[in-house]
Amino acid sequence: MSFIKIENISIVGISTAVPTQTSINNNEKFIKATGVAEKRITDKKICTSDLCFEAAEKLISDLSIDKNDIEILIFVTQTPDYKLPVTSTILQHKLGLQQSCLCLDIPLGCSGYVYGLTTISSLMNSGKIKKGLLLVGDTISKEVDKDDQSTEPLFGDAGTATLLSYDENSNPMLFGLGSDGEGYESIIIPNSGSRVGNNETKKLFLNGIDVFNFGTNKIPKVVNQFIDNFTLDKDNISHFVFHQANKFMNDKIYKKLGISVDKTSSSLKKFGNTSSATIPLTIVTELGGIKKDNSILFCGFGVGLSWGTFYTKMNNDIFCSKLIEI
Amino acid sequence: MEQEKFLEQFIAQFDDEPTGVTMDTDFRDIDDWDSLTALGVISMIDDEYNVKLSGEELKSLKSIRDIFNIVKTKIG
Repeated sequence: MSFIKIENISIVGISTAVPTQTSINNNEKFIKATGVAEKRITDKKICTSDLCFEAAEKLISDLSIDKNDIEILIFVTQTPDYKLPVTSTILQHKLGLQQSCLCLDIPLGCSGYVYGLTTISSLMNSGKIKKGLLLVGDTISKEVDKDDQSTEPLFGDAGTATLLSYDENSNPMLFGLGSDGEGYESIIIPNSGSRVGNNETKKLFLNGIDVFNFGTNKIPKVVNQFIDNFTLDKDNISHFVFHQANKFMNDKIYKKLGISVDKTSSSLKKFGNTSSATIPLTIVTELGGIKKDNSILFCGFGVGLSWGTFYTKMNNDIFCSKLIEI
Repeated sequence: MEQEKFLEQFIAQFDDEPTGVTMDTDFRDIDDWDSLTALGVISMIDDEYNVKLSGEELKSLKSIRDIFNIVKTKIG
């Protein structure tokens, strides 16, 4: 596993935008197992970048940030506007950011928020970049087969924005990242790129059992390795925010890790699994911010297969904008 | 590893416990069997026997006895 320590960068604020349209699940057995009672879904016209744009505008406005100070924008999504060009440049222009802004797309899902945090904070620290914007989200509802009862009721849509700042007083950000491409077919949209298979389906496929095995066996191990590597004390961590896969899987991971459920947060009931957006969405909707001196551990895991764990002790409050609905 | 206990643990994965189920029942024929029950069974086998069963392995099995036998083999 890659263990990375990054200095001088702090998370300043987070915002989240969701579509107004709510899709309600009726299958009681499914709700009980997955924890997903309803989720938000976009109509055809709204893309992930539209949700992230609204989240970014609101956050920039709430924090009174000078857009000229934002010199890096990273967009993490598996649902970009186009196959090419990247969507981050489109967002740079739409948001009115300077041309000196470095733009990058990262096509990761469930682990994407942690990978995005690693990449943006590493580049900001190297270049002493004052402000950075990490936009993370997905509109997976557009990729599911409406008749597939293992995916359609599970996935919701959301777009988020996280503002980071160069700050020499901040505590180090710690990361542990890894991948296992052997399981790449466990969560896949076949025929969605250059490699064409035998059948023509272009809808999301999820091998529930293999993903469950990965989540409940691999993730407790890698989180414990991360904690051991950086000699952290699990009992002193204030908030654990994990990717919201589904209740059954998350509860089993918490149990294996010996984490008290009181220290975890879940946004599954109202928003479902929002792929790359789950961690920032959960912070906005369930925690409403994070206080100075609190320590936080995030863990994203899934499609790839890929995983990332993040820890820091806050030296400032993380501000959260009010949830945006468009 | 006891067959009787395994059968009980298997049946406990259903919300409404099915009747008339034996070790030779084809688990896919049980009324309420679905992908969520399959996850419950995989999870139970992991918890109770510390054995990992993949989606591909489960796919190749037919009866509850088949599951019992593969778990038994994996325990060694």
